[in-house]
Formats: sequence, structure tokens, C-alpha cells
Amino acid sequence: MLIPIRCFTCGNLIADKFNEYLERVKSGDKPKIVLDEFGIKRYCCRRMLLTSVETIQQIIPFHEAIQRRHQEVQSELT
Amino acid sequence: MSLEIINQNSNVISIKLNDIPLQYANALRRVCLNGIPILAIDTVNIIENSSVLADEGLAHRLALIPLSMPVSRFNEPLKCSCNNKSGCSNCRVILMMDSGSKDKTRTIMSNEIISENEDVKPVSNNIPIVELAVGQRLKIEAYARLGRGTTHAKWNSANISVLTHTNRKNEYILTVESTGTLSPIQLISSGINELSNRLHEFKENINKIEL
Repeated sequence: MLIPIRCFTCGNLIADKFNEYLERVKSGDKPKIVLDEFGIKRYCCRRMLLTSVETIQQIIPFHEAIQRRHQEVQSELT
Repeated sequence: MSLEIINQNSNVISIKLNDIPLQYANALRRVCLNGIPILAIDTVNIIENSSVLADEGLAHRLALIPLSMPVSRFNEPLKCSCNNKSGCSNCRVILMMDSGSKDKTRTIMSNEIISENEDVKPVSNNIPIVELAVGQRLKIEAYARLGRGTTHAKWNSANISVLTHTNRKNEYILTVESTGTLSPIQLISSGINELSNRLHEFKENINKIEL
């Protein structure tokens, strides 16, 4: 659902770099350059960042909707 | 026998091993990789978890977070003198987390983990643990204990540990990359200690058989 904390293959910590990676790639930097600057050398760790898809953002809206409905019901009751 | 540091930075070290037979050099390599006891979250008591992540998913993510630790400060749970199942302050560290979201969806980062011991804390403050929508809450109590990589990969002391041959006989280059828990130089020195402890234990056991 979220970015894995460590690389599946070697156990290197990668999760702490993911947000910055996404921001920089969105702003137009090439993934290769960003990964090189983070010092991620091995291709096992590089694929973790390159290929990760976060599906938690697809589930969270349902919980937000539930919370909104709950608040509506609460305000109608009072 | 001699040992020479070729290069070193914050997480990688390369050392040249001189006059050491391949078997011993390889034993050191293997001990550096997964033989050194390090801290990782082992037990998680979930008091409240209304996030989208299941309890076991959350516990797994927490366990994989590398924790910084002082060398040889803690005892291994089974070898500790306290003989207590839940452990004492010498063989476990309590970590707490109590996070909620008030007005908007936000990501809970590893900096929200509060540790009992100030030397033991996540290596990085920016590790995302879970995302919480408004009204969701996460309250946990976790116990970090010492363990070895042979039990679970979360206790692996090094990411990579490679032995490369050189042109000369009995001369090897050992490259170790740390997970962030111990510094590379601490890894090598505790690796050597661990290896010598194991050899002593082995010798004692052999002597017992002869009697």
C-alpha cells in the first residue's frame, strides 16, 4: 500500500527518500539523476523507488467520506 | 595478520585483510552480514488502530525501521539476568506512538515514535509509517529487542558484505555497508568480537566431548 521501508533484496533503507524523489520527479527531474544524487547504487534499490505505486491514496477517500457522513449525522442529531 | 582501512564513509567501509586464510575471512564476512545482535522492534501492542493498514502490516513496517543503538549496551533477551519474559531495561527498549489526525489526511512519519532511551531512535525522521484520514487514530506500544539476522531479516546488521580477491595470496578486501544501526567501523569490530566468541564457544564444546 505504501512504499516498502527497506529494499526487498538487500535491506537498504529507501522509504525516507521516497517523498523527495516523487516531488523532484514531478517537478521534471529525470529519475536517474535523482537516484544517483541519493546515492542509490544497486539496481535492486533503484527499482524499489522507480516502480513503487502507492495504493493507500485510493483507499483513504472512502474513510474520509465515512468521516464526513458521520459528522453530518452527528450535526443532524444535535 | 593485519587489517588496513582502504576507504570509509558514513555507511560503507572497505578493509584489506592481509595474511588471513580464506575460511576466516569468509567467516568474518558472514558474521558482519547477519551475526551481530542489533535492535529491532520485536513485540507491538496495538492499543488502537483505525488506519487502513492491518495490525500485522503495521507491525511489519515498524519492525523494519532501523534503530540507532549504542554498541554492547543491551543484553540478548535469552541471556539477560532478569529472567523475565517481558524483559528489563537492559534487554529491551519501549517505544510509544500516539498519533491522530485532526483536520486533514496526513502521513505519520517515524519522528512521531517516542523512545524510552534517547540513544535508541529511528535512523531517519522521514520514514512514512501509515497515512491517517481525519478521525483515524494510531496508538501503539512497541518493544525493541536484540536479535540476529539468522532469525529475521529485520535484524540483519549489514546490507551488503562482500569479499573480493586481490592478486596476492591470502589477501582479501572486505566491503561492508551498514543499515544505519551501527557505524561501519563498529560493525567490523563487533563482527570480530562475535567471531572470536563463537570460536571460543566451539572450542569449549569440543573439549566437553573429549571428557
